[in-house]
Amino acid sequence: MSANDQAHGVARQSMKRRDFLRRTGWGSMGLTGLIIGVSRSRALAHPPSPYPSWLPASDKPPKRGGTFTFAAPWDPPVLDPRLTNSVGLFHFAGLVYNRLLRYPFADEAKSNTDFTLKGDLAESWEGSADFKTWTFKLRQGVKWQNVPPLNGRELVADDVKYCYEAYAKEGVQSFTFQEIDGMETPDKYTIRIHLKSPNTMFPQNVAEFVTVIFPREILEEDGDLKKRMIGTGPFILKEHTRKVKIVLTRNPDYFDKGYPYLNEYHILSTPDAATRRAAFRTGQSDALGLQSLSDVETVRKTNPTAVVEEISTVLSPFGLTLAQDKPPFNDVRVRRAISMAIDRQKHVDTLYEGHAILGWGIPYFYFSEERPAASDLGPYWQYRPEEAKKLLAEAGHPNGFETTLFYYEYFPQMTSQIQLVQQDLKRNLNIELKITKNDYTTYFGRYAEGKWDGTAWGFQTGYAISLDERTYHYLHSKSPKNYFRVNDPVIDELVTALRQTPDPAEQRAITKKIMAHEHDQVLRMWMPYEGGFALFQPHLRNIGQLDIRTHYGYGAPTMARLWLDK
Amino acid sequence: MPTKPMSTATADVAVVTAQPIVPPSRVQALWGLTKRKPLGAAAASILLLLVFTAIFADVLAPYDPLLTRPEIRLAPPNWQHPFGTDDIGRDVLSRIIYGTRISLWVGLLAVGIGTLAGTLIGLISGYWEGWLDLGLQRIMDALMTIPGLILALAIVSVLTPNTTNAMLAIAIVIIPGNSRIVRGAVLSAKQNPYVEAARALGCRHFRIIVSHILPNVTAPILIIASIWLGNAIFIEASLSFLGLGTQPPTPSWGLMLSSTGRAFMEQAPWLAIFPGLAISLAVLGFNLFGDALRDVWDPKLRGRT
Amino acid sequence: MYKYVLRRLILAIPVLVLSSLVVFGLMRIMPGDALTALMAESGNVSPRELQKLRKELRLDLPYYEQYLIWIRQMVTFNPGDSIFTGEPIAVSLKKSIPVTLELAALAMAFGLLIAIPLGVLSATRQDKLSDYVGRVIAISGLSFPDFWLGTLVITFAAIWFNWIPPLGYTSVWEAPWRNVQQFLLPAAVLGLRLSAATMRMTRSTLLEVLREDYVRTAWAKGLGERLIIYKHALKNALIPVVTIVGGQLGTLLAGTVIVETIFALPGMGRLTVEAIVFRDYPVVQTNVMLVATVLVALNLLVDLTYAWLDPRIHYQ
Repeated sequence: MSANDQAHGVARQSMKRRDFLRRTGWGSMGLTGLIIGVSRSRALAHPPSPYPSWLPASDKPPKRGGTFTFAAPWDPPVLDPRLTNSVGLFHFAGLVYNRLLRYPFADEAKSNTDFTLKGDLAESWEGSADFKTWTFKLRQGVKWQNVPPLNGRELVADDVKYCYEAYAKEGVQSFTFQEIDGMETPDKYTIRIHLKSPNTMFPQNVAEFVTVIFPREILEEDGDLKKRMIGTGPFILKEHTRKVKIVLTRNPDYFDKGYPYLNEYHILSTPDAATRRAAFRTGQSDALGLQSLSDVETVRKTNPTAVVEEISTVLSPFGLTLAQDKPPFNDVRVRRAISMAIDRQKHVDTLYEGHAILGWGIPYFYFSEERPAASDLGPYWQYRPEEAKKLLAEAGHPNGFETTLFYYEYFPQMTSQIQLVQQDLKRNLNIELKITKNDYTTYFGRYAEGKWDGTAWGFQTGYAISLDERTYHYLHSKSPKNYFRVNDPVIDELVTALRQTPDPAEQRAITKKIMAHEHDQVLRMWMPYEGGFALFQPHLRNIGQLDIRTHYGYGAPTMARLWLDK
Repeated sequence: MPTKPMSTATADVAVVTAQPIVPPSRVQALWGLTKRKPLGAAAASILLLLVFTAIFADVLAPYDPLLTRPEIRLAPPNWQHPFGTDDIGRDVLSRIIYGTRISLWVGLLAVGIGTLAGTLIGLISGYWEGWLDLGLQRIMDALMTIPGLILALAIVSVLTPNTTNAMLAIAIVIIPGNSRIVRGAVLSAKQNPYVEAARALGCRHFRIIVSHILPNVTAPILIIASIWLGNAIFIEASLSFLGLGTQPPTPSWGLMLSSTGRAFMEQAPWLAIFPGLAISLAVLGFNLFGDALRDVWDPKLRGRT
Repeated sequence: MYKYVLRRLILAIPVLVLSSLVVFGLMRIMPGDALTALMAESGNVSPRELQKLRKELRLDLPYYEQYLIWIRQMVTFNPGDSIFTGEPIAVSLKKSIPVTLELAALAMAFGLLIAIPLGVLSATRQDKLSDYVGRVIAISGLSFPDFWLGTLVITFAAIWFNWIPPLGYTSVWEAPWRNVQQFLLPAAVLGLRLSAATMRMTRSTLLEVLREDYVRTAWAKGLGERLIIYKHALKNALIPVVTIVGGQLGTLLAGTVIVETIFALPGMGRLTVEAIVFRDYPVVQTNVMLVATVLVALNLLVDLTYAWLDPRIHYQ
């Protein structure tokens, strides 16, 4: 008899005791119901934490020099930006390379959600009336870093063309660049891109952190970009010792004059969470990411001068994914029933100590001024277990059924959350969820392959800012990034229409429709999530926390504006 | 049963015929044993406690170990929850109690299979030698050259990660080392003049093995087994740490220690202390018991001053 | 004697072949492959792309061909590149072996330093208080998992002493003092665990040996107690201990992954385990074969030590 069976047996045998407790009113249901009733009336969707989510730029004159050290949880799997989107690569590659366009830095942005597109390598850009042709004018005098074989030669439009063609040919960014029909470079500093179909949001796509411009010489000489990294960016890669450290030094010829302020940026590979915490405490690391408020309080006991910023969460990267192309999950009633049987507010109140978003899939600022409240997420999002049971019975499963869930533990709260979901489904719908925790490769392989049965704890990328990517790339039935296996003609139509709509107000309206439809059909079940908190040593300046763009993560480019006050 | 040497028998003959010799009662014998080997007795009581807890877990546990009540999560030890609650509000005491089943299961199955198989192979190898020995030992050597954790990791990765497969993997890791030690002990025992004499007399192999070889081999096996019983619970915890052992929500001590225990070490140290103590207690019990058994059974040590 | 050594050397070859088959087979049976891992976090690679990459990496060849190619690489000491990172395996080995060797050596030293004296003490004072205390301490050392102890150590070192080992491994030749600071704690954590098993083994086999006839003879001859113990008894008691220590070395050579992870040391443990997780076949296979070869050599040494220590075991 396997131990899993034993565990289930254990649960079944104890049913008698639970029933007894319930009847005497001391069981979980009774007391819990009381507590939830009380707390729900007072709970906000996202109560304010005692820490700011935005720190304005310092008005003191910046000092040049110094080293920023970061104990990083990641080690880059490969150095080749065509082969991975991993934050382990881009948290420093973003400083060695540039992109055509970018988003504001911490000392330019007016708030966390300032997503005004700015020129990075491009000075200006414009689209044709039919949004099928985009022309970018490059800055003049941008030089590649003064490292052989580039030796500081000037960047030209052909370099960009070469990159985008390479991305389209192979690798993980091919879907973005395969919509390019052709490109021309009428002169050294102009590149004209023709798309196969209209896309008003193409500039957003080339502003993504991962669309870096790399040199053709390296790809041609080495055959890949795994061995060397040379770019146009504010920092030069001086040293890269796998699993140990990465050292970046200031690029003296950087086109954005005056930046960066730092002399060096050191990244120390520290895979263990407790060790990273200890490193921050002892001053060996200048930044630390923490998941919950109580973690922050614990660290502040020993480091009261640490600057804490809340990482405001704009979307949920994780959710319950169902194999919705097969029974039983292809029946919308089953999906709706499951959604109504999970008490997501409880996750927020308990696991995340009240400090989390309820869970939706598109950055909220694309369709709403404020973070959505529970009532904005549709009837099937609400916790209504009796309705859920009725609906499931209607769909032909009055006694529930058995199914599986596999996941990878990105962080410990995820396991807690999954177990709460498991309990909810068992208790309310008699659905037995057998959990398997996989290692990263097994999980990712199964998930991305898209042939699994049952359920999984699925994800979407953490870095994408582009609305096009968050809608078209992830929801269109023909997209290879559609891991949730959404196949809905209404959605297909909406997301295509979205990328052909230039007017921002209309874009908002369409995005709202997409959201509404997603929640109505329960196409993706996003779960509560919290971005966590970032801690910095007190001598850092220009560390305003930007949404989706953590400094020590994908938002690395803003580090060029960081300076040390010591 | 006490025996008297011939020299003193004459004087006692009268006594012997007058009073039949009554062997000490079981209770008296046990008490004698306890006095002589207090550690062993303590260990036996620990093990009895564990077995008792495992069997009667349903009655002993105050709550359902899988019942989540997230609103009282991370509560320090209090009257309702003497061991506190974990990250989703489950009662830690109940989980530790039920965890006894898992740990005993893990230990006994893994070490049982591993030791049995290893002993068998070692016996065959050491007794018959020749080509059989050569072949078997080469396979054992090959398995031993792969570091234990790696082998266990690989095996569990191939099969589905769960408690049973983790145990199987641990058993396979135990076998080669065991067989080597048993083989060594068998080879040593074979040098014994008794064995040569028995062979010369034409005794059947089985008899020789049971009467002369096994007793010499039992002691090292028991020691190894007792060390491995603790190790097994431990490797299971390491596999859980790497994500490949027991799956949530099963209340295994190893999983509790490696996941929530470590994650909340500062905020909720009781989540690590109690599973840790439980593991220590079990390992202590198994090991000390093994020691005591050996002390009592080992013929070479029986007649000591 | 020489015939024995030669014979053992020849026998080592089928052992290594068997090991290679086991590791090759296990890696291939595992679900997922290196390409999946490579495409992780983004993977929208078309099947055609994957096919192309597979062909480049020769993963589309039948298994026996892949095996033979790999064996040839091993024999010519040319292990090739990692599928995942593209880095030559020889380079990554050159960097990680010294770390593991240093950690292993220090841990074993710690372990033996604690274990042997405690074991002798316990055996000679059997069933007295010091024996009990010693045994309980030893078993406690066994029962605290290294990941738990390591986390404890590093968390409370930071809180109580405001100090943790300096991150960013430096070799002992570059910066000796920094290196020592980095290895002290992890070696102690590992050593504690090792010492427990060794101590108990020392104690129990020493107990047996102390009853042996030749020890009693030595005692009757009137030599000092210490001399008896250390010269005659320990020599014989060391046989199973040598086995255990040999076995521990095997564990140390790749089983240190957890301690390496916590203390951020780039050793072979991390290299191998992470390679398994990412299904980086060449790295896992090469590493395991390297460890296997070392262990086979060690086994030979252990067997020879057996024979030297106990003249009664005669090697055919």
